[in-house]
Amino acid sequence: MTAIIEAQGVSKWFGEVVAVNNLNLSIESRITGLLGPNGAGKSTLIKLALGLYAPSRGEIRVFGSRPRNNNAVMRRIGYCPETDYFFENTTGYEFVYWLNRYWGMSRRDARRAAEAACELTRMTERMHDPITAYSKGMRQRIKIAQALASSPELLFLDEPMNGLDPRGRDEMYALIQALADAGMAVVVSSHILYEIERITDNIVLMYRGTLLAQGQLHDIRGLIDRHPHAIRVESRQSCAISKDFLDLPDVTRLEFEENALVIRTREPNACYALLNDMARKNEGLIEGITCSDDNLQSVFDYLTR
Amino acid sequence: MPIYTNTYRQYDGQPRHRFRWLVVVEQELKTLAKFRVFKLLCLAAFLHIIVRLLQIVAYDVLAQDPNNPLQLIFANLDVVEIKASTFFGFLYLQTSVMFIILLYSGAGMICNDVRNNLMEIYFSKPLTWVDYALGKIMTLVLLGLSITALPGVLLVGLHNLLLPGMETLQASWWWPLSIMAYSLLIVIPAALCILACSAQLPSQNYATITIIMALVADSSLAGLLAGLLRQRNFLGVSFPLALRRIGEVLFKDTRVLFTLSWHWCLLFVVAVTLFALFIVLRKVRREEIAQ
Amino acid sequence: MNANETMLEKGMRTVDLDSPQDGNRHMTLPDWLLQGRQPAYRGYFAVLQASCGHALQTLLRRRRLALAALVAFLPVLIPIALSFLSSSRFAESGNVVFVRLAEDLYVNVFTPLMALFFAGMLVAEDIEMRTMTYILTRPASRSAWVFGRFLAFMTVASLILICSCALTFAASTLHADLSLTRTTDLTLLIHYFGVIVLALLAYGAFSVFLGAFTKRPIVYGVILLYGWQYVATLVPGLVDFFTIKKYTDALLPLMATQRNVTEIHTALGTFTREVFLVSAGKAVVALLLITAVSLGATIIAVLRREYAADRAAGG
Repeated sequence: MTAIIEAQGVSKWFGEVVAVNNLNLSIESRITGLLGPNGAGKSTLIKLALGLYAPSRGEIRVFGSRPRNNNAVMRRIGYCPETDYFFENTTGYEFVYWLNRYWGMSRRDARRAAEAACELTRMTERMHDPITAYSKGMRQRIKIAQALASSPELLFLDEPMNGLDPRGRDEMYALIQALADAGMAVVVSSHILYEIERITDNIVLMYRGTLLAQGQLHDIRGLIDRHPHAIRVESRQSCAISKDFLDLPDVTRLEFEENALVIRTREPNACYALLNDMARKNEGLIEGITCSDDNLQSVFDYLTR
Repeated sequence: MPIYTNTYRQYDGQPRHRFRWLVVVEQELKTLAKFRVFKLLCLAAFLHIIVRLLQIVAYDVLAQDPNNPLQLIFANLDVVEIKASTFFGFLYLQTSVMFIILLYSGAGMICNDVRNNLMEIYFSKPLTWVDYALGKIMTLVLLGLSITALPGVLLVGLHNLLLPGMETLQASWWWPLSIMAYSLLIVIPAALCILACSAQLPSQNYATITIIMALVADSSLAGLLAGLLRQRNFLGVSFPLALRRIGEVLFKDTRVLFTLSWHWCLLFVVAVTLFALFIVLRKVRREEIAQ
Repeated sequence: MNANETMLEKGMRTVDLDSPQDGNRHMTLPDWLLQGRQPAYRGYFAVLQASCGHALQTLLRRRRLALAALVAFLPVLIPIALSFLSSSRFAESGNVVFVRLAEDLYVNVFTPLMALFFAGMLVAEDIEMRTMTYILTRPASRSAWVFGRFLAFMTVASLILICSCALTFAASTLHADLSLTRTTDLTLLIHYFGVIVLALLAYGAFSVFLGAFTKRPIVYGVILLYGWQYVATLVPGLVDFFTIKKYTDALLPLMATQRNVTEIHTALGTFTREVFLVSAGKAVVALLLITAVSLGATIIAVLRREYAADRAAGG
């Protein structure tokens, strides 16, 4: 498979701030998750790939060509930015329509494409309302509509789940999956591991402008699994709960906090099964569970240590 | 109280001190100080102060010293003489630089906060709409006064130090008062008009161009009316010239541009200022309630 | 399933990709979105048309347009007011009134003002509102985009000023010495239309460039168009050749020698300033050149600058 995006020694700095540092990367798969905490350089990488920024050093190629001011590349790309900025005094439909016209479509094509894209993102009913009256989720949808209207081959979605409610998120996951199934390459950036996990196995991990890891999710997860997980169980009877965990072989440590117990284990699934059992037998025993594995920061903490 | 009957409520907490608006002033000034253009504009204002400083030194030191070879030149040069109108001239010239600095600093002060949803951040703190509005207004006023009244008064002080004596003091005791009054007259309306435009328009660029448009149109129309109707008093329609007329009275300047009563000019200036203040306060109040 | 179980399952993060609860997992895409069904790309003129159309729609929807138009139409009232208020014992000359208004207001004040108001924000607005990102990620020729916007500005600004100027002319005919039917007077009117359009071209293009190149185009524009242009006319030598006003003045119907200030009165004394005149032909060429260079520089700025202003440190 040929690389869709290829970066060779790409660096980008703004004054004294290094946003992307000597990045060597090749993206080939249909859906790629761009993961990293805030400030990792995900958006800068996307903007470099879109040609919005020129690399300070190195070279980035999209579909084998440099993207900056390259209309041939732009024709094949769709982009949904993270930030909510729209033309003044426009409706959702007009926003998509004018961007279609800027794309180079005829009036008729632009109209049809705008209507179809609004329909796809379930915005048909409200598409003639001014954008200022839209909710955060609707604004997100209209941004996705403008990105899809030209049916691009490569779609960049910068934090697409921001502002979407659970149903909207489900729809977004399904849409991304369907787009990939239809042959579109999708690059999704997020700082939430769970979001990316639901749509792709292939991830690019970034941290402080550098590439931390790239590849299949389970390989990266494997790196974490070799380290103890921390599971925080909220309960007023944490002593009672702790007894059962003392016998588990992979539990390395138990920490007591006020109305909570922190279990450190190399085998989290066994702990979860046990907690499941406990909760089923004694309703009200467990008030809440948080897992540090949900927190991407712990992955970075480990990988950067 | 059921939640649905809860509407707008005043902040009930105990504020730490009465001058909470000073925080807004401090924050705005610190932000402005980071911009290179702002520093350059301040430098331009400072250069004029230096020129006036040299003028005072030339008159008070060189022109008074019979042993100095330059004495004859400076003593006979009318333009170097230090009198009330010198300070009027200083403030009159400083007005344009002051206006550009205020425009640069104030055009985005409210509209940028609104656009970037900063209002809700401000009002989530124990800051009332009065604190916010006062903070913004005082930022511009203090900025304006720092390049008009402050150097003006200091220059008068310097003049008295370099040329000590009852005669100088007798001639100049009222100059600082006139300087203060005229400075306030040029700074407060400018600050409020700029903030009013910033409150009404969505971007700092539009606020800037709107105020420039109003100013240029007003001055051009005044000039044309005066020219075409052969009535110089129509120049009073121009806001900057109305201010100048009051300045002429404050500094007892005899070179008057037109003879329209200064009361009318003051009325015009006060009306515009109050209108601008009303717009600013209404906008800030509305924003607070909206949060 | 009780609440605890739900919590536990969440805690275990067992995400079943084919879980039936994800009812929307399988979405059917419409045909148009499938690979190889991209709409036809119409090229340069489609983008130019889109840019112009969009800018026109945006301009016409704004209340700011009404404000600009209001200011621009104010001079119409002057000849009318003059016919009622004039204290002169002699009849006013309509010709003098119109020429004065056309030159002092339309050419020297309103054209730079309209240019700053509309053209200064053509590119700057997209930068300020951060919608530039959308435009720059479209396969749109940057020059087509800039020309389209400029065309929209020229259409709106010319229409406002020409209509206002024509109405002022009509109002000035209330006075003697100017007629709506006399050919020489109509030629004079058309002459001023031409000067206004040429001035709008040059001032507009320069303002567009300021908008693309600086963050505060209006502040710089005011300093340059009102400050510098004024100062340059007072400085002896060839400095005034670096102003647009020099060339617009050269196009005005009366002889240039009649309007150039040769005596400069200062506190230090009165100086005589030598004035170098420019022929009308050369002035037209200069104005067109300023327009072309400014628009060219704007296109280069759009091509080279990085306008994604929402860049976060390392974001």
